[in-house]
Amino acid sequence: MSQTPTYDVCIIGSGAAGGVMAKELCEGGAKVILLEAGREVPLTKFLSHKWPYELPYRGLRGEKQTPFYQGDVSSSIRYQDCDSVSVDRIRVVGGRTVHWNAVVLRYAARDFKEWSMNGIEEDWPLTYDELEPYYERIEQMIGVCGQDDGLDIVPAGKHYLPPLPWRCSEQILDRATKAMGIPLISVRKAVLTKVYDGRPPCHYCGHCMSGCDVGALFNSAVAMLPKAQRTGTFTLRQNALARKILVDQEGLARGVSFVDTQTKQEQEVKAKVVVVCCATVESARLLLNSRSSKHPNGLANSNGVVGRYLHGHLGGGANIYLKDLEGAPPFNQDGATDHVYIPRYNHLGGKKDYAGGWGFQVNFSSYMFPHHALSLSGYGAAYKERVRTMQPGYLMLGAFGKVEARPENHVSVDPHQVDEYGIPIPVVHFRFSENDFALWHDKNRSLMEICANLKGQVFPDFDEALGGFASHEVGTIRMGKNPKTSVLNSFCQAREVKNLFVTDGSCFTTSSEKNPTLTIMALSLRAADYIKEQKRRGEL
Amino acid sequence: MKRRTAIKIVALSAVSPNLDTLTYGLCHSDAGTACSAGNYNLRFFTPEENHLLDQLMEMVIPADDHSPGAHAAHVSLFADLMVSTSSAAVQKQWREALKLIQEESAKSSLAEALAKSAANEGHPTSDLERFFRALKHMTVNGYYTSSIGIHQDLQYQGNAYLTAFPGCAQVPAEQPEEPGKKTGDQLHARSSQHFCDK
Repeated sequence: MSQTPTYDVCIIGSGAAGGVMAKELCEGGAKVILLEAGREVPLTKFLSHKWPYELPYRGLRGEKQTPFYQGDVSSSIRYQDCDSVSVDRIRVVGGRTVHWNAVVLRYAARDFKEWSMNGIEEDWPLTYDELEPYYERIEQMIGVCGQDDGLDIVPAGKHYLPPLPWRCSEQILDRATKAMGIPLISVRKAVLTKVYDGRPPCHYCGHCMSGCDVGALFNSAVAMLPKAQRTGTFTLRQNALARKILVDQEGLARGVSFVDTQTKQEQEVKAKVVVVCCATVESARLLLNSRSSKHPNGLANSNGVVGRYLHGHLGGGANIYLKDLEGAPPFNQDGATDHVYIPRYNHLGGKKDYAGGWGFQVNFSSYMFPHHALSLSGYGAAYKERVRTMQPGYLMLGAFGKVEARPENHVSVDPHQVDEYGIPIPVVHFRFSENDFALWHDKNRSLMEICANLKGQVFPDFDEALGGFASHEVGTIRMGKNPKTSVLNSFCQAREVKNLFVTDGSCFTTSSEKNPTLTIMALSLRAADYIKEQKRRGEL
Repeated sequence: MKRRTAIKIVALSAVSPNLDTLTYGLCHSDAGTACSAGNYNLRFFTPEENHLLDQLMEMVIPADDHSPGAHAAHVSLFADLMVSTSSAAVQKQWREALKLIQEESAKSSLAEALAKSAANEGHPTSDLERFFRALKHMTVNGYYTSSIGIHQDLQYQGNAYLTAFPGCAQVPAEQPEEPGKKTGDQLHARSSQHFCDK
């Protein structure tokens, strides 16, 4: 019988975090195996450019994204005692970087200090200044378009690709927001506006969220994993769903047990270090399912914190049809979805009775479909003409607002309900707080103020019920200063299991209003450096 | 539109064929050309129901000087596909609603029956009124995802491969109108919770 090799590192998950870890650790000389529950979907198989009438259900049942959600991943979850939230669990090589909007914003210094500044939640165990070099490195690594607008609330780097040109609707929005003293800046996106790192530039088709079929949008499978593979020390194991992290007699990680999703066979991989990058809900699920005599409450969970502090973003926005563009001859507005961004501004107007803020992403929805057609009253010839003449004036504002991290919001596992591989499913328990509601109401009020300063017809998109998480869920295996309320140190290392690291969004102490992915990648880069240094010192 | 919630993957129900083997049968065509529905066989609606639906949908989005309407775009066949792959409860709602509007039309005309169903569009309170919202949504979804809707009516210019994005050549001058004024043709009711699987 052949000996099973022992890898230096086993990484679980190939998305934003896993891709960075794989590249960095392999380039640092480690022998790495990456377990990915999904399989690769080559760019040539992406359905992004398919016309709706070329798809079985005209794209209305998510056909373009279906190839990225393999197996029963979408259905093997339960929401219990929950407000209106949903989490995004993908299963494909590249993770959610395969079809995301790629907005990459640095957290501001204040975003790491919620307790010090606002008296809520806790401060992170690291500062912006400590993470700043990693933000700079990762931005240069992945290629980011945008510019430095000199705003503390959205700190900028030193090397950006040319920003995306503004649309006419965005110029009109600028007129309105300027008059209100609200900033509007070029967005920063992991989208190439020129050839970079051997990848082609964007061709402005507006299909970012269906998947970029040329690799101009950062995709871990295209931009990170090949670099790991070039080192010759990287093994990618697809269709490998991690069931349990295995530990030795001292309670340290010794490997991972996984299911081959094609054959349903159980297999094991041995590794000296395990890095978990499965995304917030799946990572918590994995640790909770990794019970042993040494970890009866789940791996690294003697304090009961694993799974807790689940939070994400609240949303809601508006579609506006600008009078100034009504009746214009149809013109191509697709672009790279959002080209501009309204950064947080509510902190500029004096103290509020709630903590946190929101930002507005602009125009990240499709120009192909007339969204207002479902909200305009009437039918017949006049209605049809109205739909058509309004369409060129489409402007969309979508808010992402801070949600509080609270221990009562959590992910658990149900041993009595298992997925198709016999693994207990995750159960989401979540309620918004008073702070969340207060922030949401003020956001809605402010949004309608902006809309009132735009000449056109407004269709608010926020329901009566507050909803989340906009695929930005974080926090279930948090880092922190206090060992009673956190699992990880500032290097994403589990306090109880020193050879276990968690570097995806689950490691967040708190969330700001900004998209989390750039911070996930910066934290991963920092953790990779730490692992290499610890290895060099013989600590790992 | 909320971001990923708008594209939330609805797990294809057990009644839905596998994506790879689905013979969706609805024709598709190059932009601007007429489309033949000769190769589509009705899966749920009877020929009589389909004819009724076709007439209703053409009234919702009719042909005009600019472009063909829902009939030419075969939107009733799209509706048949969507309803046939929905739950039994949804199928029952559609069948019963078509019976209802047929009965209503016998009192006067189909056009008047449709008008009656649309009278309370913002706040539907009866089954007939709720049917109108579902009918309109299905018509809108089917028409504006069709070749006719996209290329002939809206004349959508995107889904292209550009080497550069032109931005805005000239910002339009401000129109002298009261900002943010609703024109009175906007619905306040939420999308119908009926006639579709959640």
